[in-house]
Amino acid sequence: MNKLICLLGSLLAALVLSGCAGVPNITAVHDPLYRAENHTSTITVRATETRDGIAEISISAIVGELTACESMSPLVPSLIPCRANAVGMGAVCIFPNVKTQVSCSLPIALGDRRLVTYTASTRTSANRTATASAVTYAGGTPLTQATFHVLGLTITMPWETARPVIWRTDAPSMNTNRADKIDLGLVPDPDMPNYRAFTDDLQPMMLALFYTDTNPYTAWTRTFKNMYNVWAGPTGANGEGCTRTFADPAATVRVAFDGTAILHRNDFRDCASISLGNGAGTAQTNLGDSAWVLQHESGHFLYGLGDEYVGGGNSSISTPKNVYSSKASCDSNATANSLPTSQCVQIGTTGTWRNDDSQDTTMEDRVLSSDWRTLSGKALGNMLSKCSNGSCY
Amino acid sequence: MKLRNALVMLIVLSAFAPLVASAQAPLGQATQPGERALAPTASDGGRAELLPARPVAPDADPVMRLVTDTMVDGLVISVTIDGATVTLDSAVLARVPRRQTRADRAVEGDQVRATASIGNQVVATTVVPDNVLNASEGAGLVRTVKRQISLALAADQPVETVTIDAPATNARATLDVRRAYTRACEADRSSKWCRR
Repeated sequence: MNKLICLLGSLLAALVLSGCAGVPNITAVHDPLYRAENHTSTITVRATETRDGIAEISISAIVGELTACESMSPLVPSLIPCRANAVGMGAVCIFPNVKTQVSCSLPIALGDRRLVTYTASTRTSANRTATASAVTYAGGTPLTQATFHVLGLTITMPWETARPVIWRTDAPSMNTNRADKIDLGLVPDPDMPNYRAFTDDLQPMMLALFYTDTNPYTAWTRTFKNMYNVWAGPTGANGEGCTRTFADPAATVRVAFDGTAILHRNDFRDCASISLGNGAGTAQTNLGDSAWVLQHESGHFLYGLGDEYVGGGNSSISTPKNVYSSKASCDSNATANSLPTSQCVQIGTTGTWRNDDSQDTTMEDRVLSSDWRTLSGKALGNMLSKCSNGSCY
Repeated sequence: MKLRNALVMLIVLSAFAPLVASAQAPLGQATQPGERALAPTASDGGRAELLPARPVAPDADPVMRLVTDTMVDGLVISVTIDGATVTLDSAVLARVPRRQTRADRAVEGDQVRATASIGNQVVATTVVPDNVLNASEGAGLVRTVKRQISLALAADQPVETVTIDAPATNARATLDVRRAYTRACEADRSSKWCRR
């Protein structure tokens, strides 16, 4: 019997390892992720298939003018941008059935107020295909006014939109609310030297969280990247500790976000609301682990998690909560979530409790090896389910 | 429903269909004043070709389809709540994401309710989290008595007042938001945004 189990296990392992042999793997990313100046943006698609080899990568892009959707409703500009005068363009790269990773890049020179959507596909020599879902991003000098044509007159008004950095614009779901994404907004603090510094700082943080990092603390956002939209907002926000103010245009534009991070360079104690939707917090960008810091703060302002360390904000509104005011409630929620009650421990002598599996966890341990664990992990899993069902919040 | 799904897929796929023959601009040339596709590159001995440009109709543009489906006319207001006092910081007429205007949202923790009215008639409500509870790194929980809340209400007619309820600090106030429509109304006196 043991031999049979062992054999079945080996077979399963072999199947998993060989996995989807023949099916290509594809990733696509644009660089820079967002720059509010005229620049050359490069869409790079990488594909791998080790059995048959990659024969082709194709990139399709739609580029046009970012507008305030003036044509949709007279005199009502939009927080989310539209596109006018759209043009399709693209590239095809042909490979000699290469069995290692190959890449295909399409550079596009972007002028004022551009909005770019791209998708990509790859084909192996055995005609197996894979497709990367559509991503939209903004580039070039931002929109600063809306222009309406009314009764033969041209009416202009100052206006700024949210600026997509990574906007998942794949096939619309049948849920027209489109609440199946978490919209993370990033806005500059006044301590940023200029807007370019802000976009330069957000680049490595977003790349790490959603694309390139290999540490456990980014595993969630990398794995479920399609669940997130990332936006840049205009100026007007100001954070210092737990005091956050939003003047226009940031005050209005942030309504489009589920949570807003004020990115800053000055050294002060970061703080975030413990909230599920419409939250906000601060994150310092010039730290060696700035992406981890933002991931931790988003634990508060996007997912309603509490700190699990002594001296932190030990309170939670997530489902389930990751911090409890008694051992009894920690125990019952551990049981309800198939976690050992023996792991329910007090956070120091605070009188608050959490479930601790002794591994590094992002709401406690400031290390790159941390992850969303125990009840934090359950809470994020539940949020993923809610997003999949059409409403993250 | 399946038919609608299939149609949606068809339209989206057609937007990204291979960019063939009907070139509207020469290879590598500017397609619009604001953009220019440059020479693509391929790794590992691959050969890269730039495809011809073509115009994309608005109804085939995934961004326009998404925005059309998800945005509604609305009112964005930003308020500062300081203890029991509520101050209107800004009121702006805007197209807003429908999902951010929901009245039936189940908010965990403290919440702010906004009720938009014309005269005595309620025309829209929404509820959003009240960010009073904060985690300050290394300093613990901080309850902020003074906080700023931005929210959106779906309204396709000019709202006169918005009543804000924030039970966390016993704040309640009715705010005059008519200034949100001034610009639109000045631009076109016959606009629906002008009160009759």
